[in-house]
Amino acid sequence: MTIFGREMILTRRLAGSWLFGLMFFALFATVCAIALGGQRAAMAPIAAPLLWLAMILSVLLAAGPAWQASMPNGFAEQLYLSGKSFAVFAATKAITMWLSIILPLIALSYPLAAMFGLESEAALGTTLSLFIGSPAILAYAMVAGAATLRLAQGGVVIILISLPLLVPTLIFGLSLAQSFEATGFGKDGLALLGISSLSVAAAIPAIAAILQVIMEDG
Amino acid sequence: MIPDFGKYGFVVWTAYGLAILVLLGLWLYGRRK
Amino acid sequence: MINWLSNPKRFERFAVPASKFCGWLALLLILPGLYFGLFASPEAEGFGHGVRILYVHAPSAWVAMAAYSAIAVMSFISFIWRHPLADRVAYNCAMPGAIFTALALATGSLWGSQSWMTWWVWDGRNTSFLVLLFIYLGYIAIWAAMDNKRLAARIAGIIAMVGAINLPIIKFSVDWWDDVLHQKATIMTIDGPGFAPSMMLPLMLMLFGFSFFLIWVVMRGVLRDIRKQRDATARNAITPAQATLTKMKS
Repeated sequence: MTIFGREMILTRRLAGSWLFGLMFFALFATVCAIALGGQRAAMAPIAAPLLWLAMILSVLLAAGPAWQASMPNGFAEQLYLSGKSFAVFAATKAITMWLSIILPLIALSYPLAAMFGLESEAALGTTLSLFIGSPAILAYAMVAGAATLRLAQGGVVIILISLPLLVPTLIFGLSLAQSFEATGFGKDGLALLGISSLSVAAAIPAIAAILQVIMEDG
Repeated sequence: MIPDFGKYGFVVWTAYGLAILVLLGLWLYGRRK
Repeated sequence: MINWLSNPKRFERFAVPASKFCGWLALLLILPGLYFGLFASPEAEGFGHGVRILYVHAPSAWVAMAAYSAIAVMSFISFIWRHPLADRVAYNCAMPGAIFTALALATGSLWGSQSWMTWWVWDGRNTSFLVLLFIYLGYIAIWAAMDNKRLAARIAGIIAMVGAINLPIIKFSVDWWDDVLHQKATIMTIDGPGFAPSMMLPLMLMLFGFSFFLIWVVMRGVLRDIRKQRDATARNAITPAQATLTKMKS
């Protein structure tokens, strides 16, 4: 039953949001390149920041619809009655979302970084930073998505809630991306890993609490 | 009788003006029925 | 809703006189504070009359942080004990808190225009305060955008607590970002040379004055919410009674 439940969530996830996120990521990067005039010399210094912003926005935009699709009215009650904990549900959802939405983005980030004029070491640093920072991005996107489940126009509020919380992730993520060529994984990598772990540890209970509240009062 | 703050005049008066506006505004907000 | 009716009476009995006290105390602190700040305090070394901005800037920043702390604590109390008044206190702290955050940013910008000759600097303190303003706006947005206010209270509370846990991390990361990447020179602090007792006086007056003012605003808001809730319940109670009466008459 548990495996079936997870399969169900997985197939629902694959239904649409991942492609949407991927397309936005690629399109945002493209538009940035056009806006910057397409010169590698101009783009290379800000490639990592732009890709980080593209990643964050893509995940935030995909989070809302992903939640709406898998939480129709009454689903929370069914889940509660089935005996599964909301925390386990949240964790499962996080894993499936990471696999289906984030992994493609991380994969695409390496060629995009190269297209923005980064050398292979620097491009790898950018991709690695996105990889390690992605749990934090997903964690806050999911919290914001859950909080705005019963809102008509959740999109803007998702961004308003999650972006402030993502400031440390952004800061440490970019410090890793930009220092990777010189110092490798190092202290910056550890700091980012710490941020991601803390974010996930804080987000799962918060999401479970939100789902509980929606079931009781929603 | 308004004191002259020299080159700081504009910023000081603007800062205090904003602060007083905020205080008055919140006071009216707190007083509404 | 029955819980709501029992405690609020006690809260009202306390808060009606308490809010009056806080209101008058705030006035008695702020008016002299303004006087001393503008007229009866000295210039500072190296910054002249510009230091007067500090007497509105620092209290605003203090109140901004205090209000968010109150929101976080009240959200926690509401989460553990489901106390509906805690929700209303948190809600009423939000708008004043956001406004004082904006005031702190504006007065800080005015300060910076003379001390760093620029209207805005992306330093640690400015940036984290700007982030705090957005955290406030997100919190307010949840309350505003949801029709089901009971659900809004609980979700906003959870988000407030997540934000509260993150605020030290945000502050730390932004300060680190500022120090490491920007190599900023140390900004003049209150403990620097030339901070005379005659400067502490307007600062303390305004600090306490603003604080009691915030308490007054929040208490007035909660009292108003209690009154509104009581009126709403009374209106709902009258109608069935009238229906019974008309039934009896016919």
